[in-house]
Amino acid sequence: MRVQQFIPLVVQIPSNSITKSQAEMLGVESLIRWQGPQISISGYVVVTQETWWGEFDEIGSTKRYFNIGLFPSPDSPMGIYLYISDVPLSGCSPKSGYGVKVKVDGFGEWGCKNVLTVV
Amino acid sequence: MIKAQQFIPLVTQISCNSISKKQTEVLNVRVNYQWRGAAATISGYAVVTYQSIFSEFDMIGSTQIGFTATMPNSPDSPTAGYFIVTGLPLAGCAAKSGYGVKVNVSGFAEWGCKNVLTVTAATISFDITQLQLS
Repeated sequence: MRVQQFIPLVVQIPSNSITKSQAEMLGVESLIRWQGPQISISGYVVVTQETWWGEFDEIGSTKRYFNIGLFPSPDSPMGIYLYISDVPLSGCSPKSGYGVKVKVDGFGEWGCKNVLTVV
Repeated sequence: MIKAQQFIPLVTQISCNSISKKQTEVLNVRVNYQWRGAAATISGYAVVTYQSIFSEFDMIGSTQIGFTATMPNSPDSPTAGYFIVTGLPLAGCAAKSGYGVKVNVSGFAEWGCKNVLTVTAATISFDITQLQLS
């Protein structure tokens, strides 16, 4: 039997579009639905661009790490807003078509393409 | 010559209701007792157990909760009472049936019951549904 390796996909979700200058910082608010015990999650937010080898190619200089605690919600899903501020854009060329990705360790990756223009 | 032997203390098996709990919940243990003697404070712990090849009451350490309880002054006849040990965390228990509970009272003995607790899996769901850029 042959074992196949699957590359994790980024779940595409909706987002507003925005224009920012290179000198500004980007804020990213994620709406999370959580059901489970009290745990801590960690991950990062990053600006991405579409390339021939990946739809969500990361621009490393924009990466912002987070670590937060989730309140317990064992019986039903709970909505939580996670706001990550100060994502630096100075490493982005002035152009349109950037995306944003949120990676949560152990759970997955969510992102949206063509939502950020850097001027 | 008398050869000294070491005895492993036994757990006195007592009756108990059965219950089912999620891994995200905590277990409360009501301990009904009969006490005869001078007023005293006792201490010990309650713990979830399971039957293994080593022991009928093999303890799951993460579930252990200590307690202290005040016993009444009752030198002439036994007095019945109870205390409740609250908040035994079940997160460290695998989701299955057949767990027991043991109460250890320091300086006295251990009491327990087998096959009274079923732990069910916690539902875990995580999803990001929307981003808002600013």
